[in-house]
Amino acid sequence: MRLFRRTALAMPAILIAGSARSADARIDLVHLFSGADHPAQKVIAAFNDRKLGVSVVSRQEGTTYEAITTKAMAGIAAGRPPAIMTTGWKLADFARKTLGAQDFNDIYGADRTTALMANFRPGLKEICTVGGSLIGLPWAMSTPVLYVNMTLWKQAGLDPAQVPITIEALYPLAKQLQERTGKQGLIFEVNEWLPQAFIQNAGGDVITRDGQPAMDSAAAVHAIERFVEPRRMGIWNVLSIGEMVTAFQSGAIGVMASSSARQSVIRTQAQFELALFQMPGLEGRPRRMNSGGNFLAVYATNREQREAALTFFQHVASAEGFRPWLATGYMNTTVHNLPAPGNEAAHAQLAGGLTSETIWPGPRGLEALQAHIEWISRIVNGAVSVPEGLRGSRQAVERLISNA
Amino acid sequence: MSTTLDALPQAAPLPRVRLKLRWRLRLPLLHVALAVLSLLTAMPLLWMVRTAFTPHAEVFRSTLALVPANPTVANFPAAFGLFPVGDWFLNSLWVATACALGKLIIAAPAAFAFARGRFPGRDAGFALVVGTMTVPYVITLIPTYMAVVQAGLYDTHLAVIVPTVAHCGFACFFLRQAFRQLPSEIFEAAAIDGAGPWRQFLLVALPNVRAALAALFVLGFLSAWNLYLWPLLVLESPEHKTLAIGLKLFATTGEQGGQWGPLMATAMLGVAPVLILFLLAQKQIVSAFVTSGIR
Amino acid sequence: MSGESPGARASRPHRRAAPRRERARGPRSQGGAPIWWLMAAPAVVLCLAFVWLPMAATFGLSVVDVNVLRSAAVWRGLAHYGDTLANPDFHLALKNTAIYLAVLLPLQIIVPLLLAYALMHLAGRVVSLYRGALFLPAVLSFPIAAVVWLWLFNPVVGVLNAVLTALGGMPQRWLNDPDMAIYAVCAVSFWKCFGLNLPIFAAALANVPPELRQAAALDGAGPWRRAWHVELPLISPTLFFAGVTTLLLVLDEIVGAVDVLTEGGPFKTSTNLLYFLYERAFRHFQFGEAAAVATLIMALVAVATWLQFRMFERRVHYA
Repeated sequence: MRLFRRTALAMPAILIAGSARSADARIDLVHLFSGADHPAQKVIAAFNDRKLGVSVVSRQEGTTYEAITTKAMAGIAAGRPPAIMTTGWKLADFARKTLGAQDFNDIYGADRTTALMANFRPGLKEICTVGGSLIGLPWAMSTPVLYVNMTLWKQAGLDPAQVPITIEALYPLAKQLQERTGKQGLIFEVNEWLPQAFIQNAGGDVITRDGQPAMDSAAAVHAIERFVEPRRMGIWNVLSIGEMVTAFQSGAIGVMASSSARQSVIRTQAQFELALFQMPGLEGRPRRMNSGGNFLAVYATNREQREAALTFFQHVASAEGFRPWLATGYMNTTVHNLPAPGNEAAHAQLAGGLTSETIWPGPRGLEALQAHIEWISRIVNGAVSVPEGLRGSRQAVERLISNA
Repeated sequence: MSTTLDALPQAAPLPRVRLKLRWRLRLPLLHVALAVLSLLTAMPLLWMVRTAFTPHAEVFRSTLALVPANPTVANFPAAFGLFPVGDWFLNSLWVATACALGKLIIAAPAAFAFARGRFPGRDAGFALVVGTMTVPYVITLIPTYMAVVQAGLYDTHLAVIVPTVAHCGFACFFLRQAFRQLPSEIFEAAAIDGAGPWRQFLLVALPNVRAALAALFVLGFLSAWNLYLWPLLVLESPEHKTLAIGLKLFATTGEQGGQWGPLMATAMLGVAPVLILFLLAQKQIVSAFVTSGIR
Repeated sequence: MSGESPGARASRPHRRAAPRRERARGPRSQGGAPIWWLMAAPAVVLCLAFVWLPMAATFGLSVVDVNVLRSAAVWRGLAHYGDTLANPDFHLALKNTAIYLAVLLPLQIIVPLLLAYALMHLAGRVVSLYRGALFLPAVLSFPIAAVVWLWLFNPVVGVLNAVLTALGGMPQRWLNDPDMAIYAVCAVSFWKCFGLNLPIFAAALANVPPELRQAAALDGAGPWRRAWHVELPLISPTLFFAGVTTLLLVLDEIVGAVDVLTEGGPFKTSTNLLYFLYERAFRHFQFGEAAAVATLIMALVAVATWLQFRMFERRVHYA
């Protein structure tokens, strides 16, 4: 049974704890993907089956980047860093400076690193480089997309060919959907990521390139006013992200803006006609969409584990290794020509150019991120006005970033 | 306070106050009210059972039917497939038993020493041990965590068991009282027969406080089964987690949109042993809670 | 030691001429002090090592800055205390803890008391069914209770909203509603805990001497007056004890429910002091500041317990 096989596989890893010499080098891959049938498990299984002398142990430590990162800190403090961990892009600086993510050039040499990265789109190398160090393999990249319940859309008498490309045009249609079908019109993720898309589309930044928090600029205020408008229109009841996905899958919501990474799961669960579209921008302003997801970073401190990690990376970066990964909604970040059915919208958005996710700098970057999310949540719930909330966020983040 | 477990009063032997007629008429009303309350209290659990047997396709259909249309047992193997639920269960069992037993093993001899021994430092030692009951464990969290990490015991069950066993103040207090209530003649007799402290303890004292030991075991087991914050901090790998914190991981799967059927099935597994224990030993368990609560 | 009259001892034949100590009472221990020490040692050592020492260490930690990943400690004096007291999140946690206490303490005492009282007047097999059903949630753990209720609270497919809409009401957001979340957590905690005090109160009520009740009845006192003047004072030690344990429960164990249900609530509206501590220490890894928080919490608990003693001890009748 799978249960016992997995226990049997894990036991040696626990007992040996990476210090003994064994025939196979065993390394931990700490991640946040749930479920035994998640494509991540398939990728790992495919790699292990190739019997290259390295065995990867899958360890799900949580379901958010924040959760697994704080767990990793505990492990690192205990002298047991994970060999590889899926590190959220937003935590790149934190990973490098506080957690000790390794520079590929340092541990693998320039030649092997270049060969490895040649598998990926050229623009991504920059996103993976923090303070001059290349610390990640761009494995999982997502972008905000619009999930539309086409069954409800048509039921509301809306034209399926006319999904709007600006947010201002979307809202009245969502309202019409709600009025005609009785289901909730719209829902957004409440975190730092989707607002970042809005802010950038308005011409602002959450944190500027030089690390200055700028989430209360005029452009940002304009953006977030647009963001919370569905709340005022009564077409958006706020739910947590888990509840949101459940609700959308069960057909209770017409339109959802969320990560493209969810698309494979939602497709299998949804029992209605589902269609994905690029995330709408803001009227009159240039599109500037962000990316999200994670990269694979190395935290191992001994040579054997690092080399083992490289073997895994080389597999993952290859066409064959990456192919099963596309069963998630993550985009094809490689230069290989791999089909990604159902994910066309995200790839189109990728082709149009994506910025990196906001990187939260400094040793208290995690805290700053959480503080910002809380302020956004306050704004969305109507506890504070938009300018007040964004200013509160900037002050909180400033304090935490400067307290480095 | 009696040390036997039959102390729990039933309604019948209670002094039946002679009720006036209007009060008598209210009795059936009371019955109805209590029946309704009991049902309401049990309802969440009934709903949990219902969902555990609901097939995935119907879970999201918002319905009030108490019995699902197409009941299935598929959620149970599904739960095992999603997470190492079997490991969680066994871990909880192991940790709870070890904690309960450990507390008894550590506290009983000490309680006996405090109850019947004469040695310098006895009262100070007793105060030291029982005084821990007044210390909220929140104040010991961080240094204990740091010590566990530095001792290399992070992510082991020992890290959960040892500090939990160390909080044996209540067990010590409880057992000391139990020992003190035993007539000293039996110990005198044993001493005359040449039994030293250990033999008095093992052969004379322990057999006579079986009820108290059982009560403590039950309380200790239940409280260790329900531990949350401390295991959350020191147990990292999914295979090491106990059921309580594993459920949290299961319940907050953000990416999947919630596998409620399997989740409720897992919750049932968490509730089942406690429930069975409760049904088998309801009197004893309730009595254990009661005797721990009465001066 | 155990009461033994000097006369009894004097009349017992001596087995051997052991040196008589002035205050010697109790069994003659062969082997003397060292064996007793051995028996008591593990408990004492463990308590020292895992309770008292960490407590002292927490005080020590609260005045330094320690980073788990960098080992050198930096002296900070009372800075952490100042930061914490000025932190609006701390104030919110404080306020929430007060709300939890104000809601749960009375509920978890009054309701089981009334139920115990009601049960006292009923007879029959079915009464143990009631007792069992009402006590059942108490043996569950907080996280399990929370998981069960998480499903009930689901705004879209949960049964609570289904019932509400069937009755014609508006579906609520429950755990997502910043004003409601804390009360939702209170509801779960109440459901889980109210049965706990039930048998305790029932036993206490049963211990009231029937003569007193009969006497009051004969004096013409109706059931309510009897309850207020006779029974309540006599069970007051138990009520008091229940109050103390509920206090600890609300401060401490409820964290399991908070973490599963809301993780502190929509922007910290359902967090409590302990959860706040957990976040400072183990999400943000600010051990120094968290140690200061722990010390503050302990001071608060001490004050609250002292207050409880002062306010109610006087009213507690010990038979």
